[in-house]
Amino acid sequence: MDVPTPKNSSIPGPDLLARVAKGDQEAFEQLYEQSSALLYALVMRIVGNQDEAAELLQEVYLEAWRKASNYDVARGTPMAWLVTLARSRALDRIRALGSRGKGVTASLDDTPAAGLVATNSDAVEMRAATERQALVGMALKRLPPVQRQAIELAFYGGLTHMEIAERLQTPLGTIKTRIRLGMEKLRDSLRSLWEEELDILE
Amino acid sequence: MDHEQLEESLSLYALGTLEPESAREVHAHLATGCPRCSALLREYQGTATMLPYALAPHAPPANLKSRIMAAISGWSASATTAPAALPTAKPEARRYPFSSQTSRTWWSSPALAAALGGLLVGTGASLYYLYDTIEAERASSVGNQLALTKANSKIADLERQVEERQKSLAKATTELNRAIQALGTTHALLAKREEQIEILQASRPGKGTEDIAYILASPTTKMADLHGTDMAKDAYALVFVEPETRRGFFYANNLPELPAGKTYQLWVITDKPVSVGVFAIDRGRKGRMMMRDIPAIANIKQFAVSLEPAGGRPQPSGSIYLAGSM
Repeated sequence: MDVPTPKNSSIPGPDLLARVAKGDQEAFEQLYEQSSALLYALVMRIVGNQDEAAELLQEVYLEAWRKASNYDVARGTPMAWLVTLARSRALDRIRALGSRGKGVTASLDDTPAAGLVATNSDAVEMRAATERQALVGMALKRLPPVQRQAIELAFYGGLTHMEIAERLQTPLGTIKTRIRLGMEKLRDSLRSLWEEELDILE
Repeated sequence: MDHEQLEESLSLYALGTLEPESAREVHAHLATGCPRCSALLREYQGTATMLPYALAPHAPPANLKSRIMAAISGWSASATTAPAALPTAKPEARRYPFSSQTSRTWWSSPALAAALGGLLVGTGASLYYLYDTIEAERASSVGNQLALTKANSKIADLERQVEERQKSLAKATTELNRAIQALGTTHALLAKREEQIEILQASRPGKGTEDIAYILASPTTKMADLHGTDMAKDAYALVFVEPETRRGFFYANNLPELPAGKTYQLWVITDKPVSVGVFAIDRGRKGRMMMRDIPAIANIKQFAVSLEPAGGRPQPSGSIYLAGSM
């Protein structure tokens, strides 16, 4: 398979995961280096506890190692695969603990997104974070806060749209619309990023 | 759901936020291979998996990687190696895990992996050995992590201390500079006055020298500093008052030359100005005067020099040239 080199070499490509699937430990180490900071931030955000997050992340990587051969290029980039895997394991964990959605505040004033985006834009200046982080941070920042909140409750809180409606005491249809409109805007503003992702796969 | 509703549900499906029943319906539709919906779903899935990039990247604990690599190293070895590797590889395997210099990378050695695999297939005891090495690695990583955390907090403490010391040093330096400046000013003033006294003493060798000496020597003598007003900005004067004898000595410098028919007059101001006397200045623009019957020192508020018609006046009538208090 002829795989074009991704513009951002710090994003793992399908070829790397193919090597991992063959038992290449160096490739796996590289995969870890390229993805662990993002995945750790993700599971930290969902479970909200460092020890728990570290333990969970270990399980996620061991599962990735075991199941690397199950990875199917047709279903997304390696990063998307890892994000999906880490997110679903983290959501499983908070479901088991009965703390689903608790880490995601229902208040708009201090919705984590505001802080996160701010943190991220600091990071952009201070640590020269990737263009990708800047773009996603900006895209989320530009969303109306109610749309961003609904999306985050779904993505990080693992709540269904009915649960979100209940939590926010907002009609179900309104929540669906907020998520749908927000996701459409995100899709459009992040087009360059996911198109690049899709290019990697072709 | 009709097709439009299905399409509208795709973003929620991609976020995993649909109720199970709706999710099954969307899934069934996607299984039919609808190209439009499949393409849309990919876009939304791609978008959803981008969301974590908005989080500030957060490096996991330093020992996590070695724990994970140790674990997978054990597995892959057991899956891929033959028992034949056992005899020669074993000693090397024993050496590696306990060498602190190589402990971070011992799992990446293929020979070692093979050896461990051999051990694993070999005996039950070796299996424990493998777990031991992994545990030892894990424990030592945890220990190192703890030591690192401790060292980091110690460094932070020291940095704080250094910062505090630098701050107080800077403060002390500022204060010292200020004190040096103040000292310099005092010093210059003192030098100036010593010089003035010398001049005084030297210039009045005859009558009055004893008086001046007495006044200057008395421990109760008070001194007043007079400064030039706008009329004579460079001028200054000193007044020495000996309270017991109510005598004093006046010395002025840099006063403008007197116009014809004018004189300088010195006043002691209590509740009203009291004339002390008139004086002229010499070529060096200096003026001197012995003072007698000075009002009680407690009542003196100020000294002043005014320009008056020759012979002086009972009350000041001209411009004030010098003024000052004790």
